[in-house]
Amino acid sequence: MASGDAVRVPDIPVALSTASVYPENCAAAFQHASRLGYDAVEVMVWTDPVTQEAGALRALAELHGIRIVSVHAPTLLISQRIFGVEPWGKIDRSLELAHDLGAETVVLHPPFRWQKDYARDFADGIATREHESGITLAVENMYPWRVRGREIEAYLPHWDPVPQPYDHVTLDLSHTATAGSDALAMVEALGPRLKHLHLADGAGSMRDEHLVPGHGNQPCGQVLDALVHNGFDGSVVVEISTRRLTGEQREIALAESLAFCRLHLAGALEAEEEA
Amino acid sequence: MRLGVIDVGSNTVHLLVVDAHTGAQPLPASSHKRELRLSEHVTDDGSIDDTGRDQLAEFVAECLTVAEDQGVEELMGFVTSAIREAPNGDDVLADVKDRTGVVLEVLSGEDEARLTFLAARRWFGWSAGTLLVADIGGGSLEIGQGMDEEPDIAISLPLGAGRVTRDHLPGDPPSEAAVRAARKHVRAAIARELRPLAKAGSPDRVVGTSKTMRSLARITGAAPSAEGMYAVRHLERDALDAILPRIASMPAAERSSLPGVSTSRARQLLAGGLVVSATMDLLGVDRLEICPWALREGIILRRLDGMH
Repeated sequence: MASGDAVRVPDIPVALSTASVYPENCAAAFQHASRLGYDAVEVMVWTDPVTQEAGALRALAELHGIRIVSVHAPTLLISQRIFGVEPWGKIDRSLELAHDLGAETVVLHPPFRWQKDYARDFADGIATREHESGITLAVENMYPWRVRGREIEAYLPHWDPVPQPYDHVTLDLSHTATAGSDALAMVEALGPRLKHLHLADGAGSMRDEHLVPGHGNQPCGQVLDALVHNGFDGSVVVEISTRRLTGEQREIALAESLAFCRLHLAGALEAEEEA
Repeated sequence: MRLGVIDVGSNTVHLLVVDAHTGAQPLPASSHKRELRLSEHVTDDGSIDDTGRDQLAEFVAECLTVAEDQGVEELMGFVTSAIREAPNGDDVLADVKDRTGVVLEVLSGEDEARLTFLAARRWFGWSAGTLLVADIGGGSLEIGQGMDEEPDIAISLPLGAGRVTRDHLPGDPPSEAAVRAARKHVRAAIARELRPLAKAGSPDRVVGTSKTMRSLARITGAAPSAEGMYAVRHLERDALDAILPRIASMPAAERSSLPGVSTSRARQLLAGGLVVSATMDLLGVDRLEICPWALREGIILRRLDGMH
């Protein structure tokens, strides 16, 4: 780069998931995101009532001058009673919330193994809803549960979305570590179906770690490079776990994650332009 | 004729009304229950406190009215470990008798195991071969094994889901150290009593009964209760062991969002899971089948056998 040139950063928005500040609340996530220079926020729908209410979320977005890029539907093991217990009802309410917030994407997990009826119509149901709502429904990659060296399929039809007929997918780089998946191969196999990235890291333990990118063994930088190379038109969302950190450590982790992301995206863009 | 059975457990007091005829499948006519949680109404020495005593007498009186409304001709009542082990248990039962006229019979742990075994035998029939039946209640774990209607081995251990929660799993959620200690305690207690079962050889079919077993099976993928009692449901040990660490780290409020887990039993779910996992592991069982019939049905079946 010639001296005097400004660093150019790709226009891929980098957002902060409200889950990244837990146990701090949703309002705190907006504050952190805006102060640290994130472009946007992903709202993890959670027990914090603010995460369920469009008016409150819009007010936070306005107050901090930051937009909401995506809504994470309450499809986790521990959010099963949020937005009701009926699985499609939860998705529809998440879509409604995304619509009211102007968010372009809803992230969702595949059905659990006990949700057989929901799983049967899952692919068709999300395709229909995506078509009707105009909002992207990006199904997230998960991982098998392991015990005594055996893998238990906790999700239906499968934890791996790559071979499934979903139009859009979220790739989570902590889940790839837990699953032992090849993240770069998934990026290539998904092509334009990859619409959303949960940026985190993992060291491949049985636990889903959600480390700061660069602190595990996942090819986080290479995945970001590949996104730029492939002309990715979705969002990157930092989804790390800071629950055991002090306030100061959390601040550093959130800032470091953003810096990691910007640095790689800028570097990749420069490399593309030189090529 | 209509039979009524009042079952006083550690968690729930339950009146089951059944249309029962010799040679016919007992058909449940109605069910009336209340969460009294007697296991939580105890003083330091394990006695039932006055509130627990009053609530029990009131509910038994209520059951009497319901039973009359339902046309019940014969009402039986029994109590299990909740009162069996309370130092003032006899006193409480005498009080209930004075106030309602209902005699609640005390079942020993071994009786529980035997009657539950009978219910499972009738449910699965002779084609099941040698049966092993495990039932986990609020106060105790019962295990029965045999090839007849009477089990050859009937064991009762103080490892009910409520008791293990109360004695070994404080906190919401309990600490990792507490979970490990509880697991160790449970396994040691089962291993100590294992010899008669180990000597008896391996069963042809392994069966689990109780609400705790049904909840655990549901979470690991078994059919919901809406599919009725004839749906075949299994509980696999690998699936159970894969989900147990996740349950362990969830507070009760989160556990109650799992399918088939009621708010009132959410805290006990972990203890139940630890006990079931230990039982399956120590007995070398990879998979058990859920039986919808248990102690109450066993009592009704035993009563019908005597009606010739």
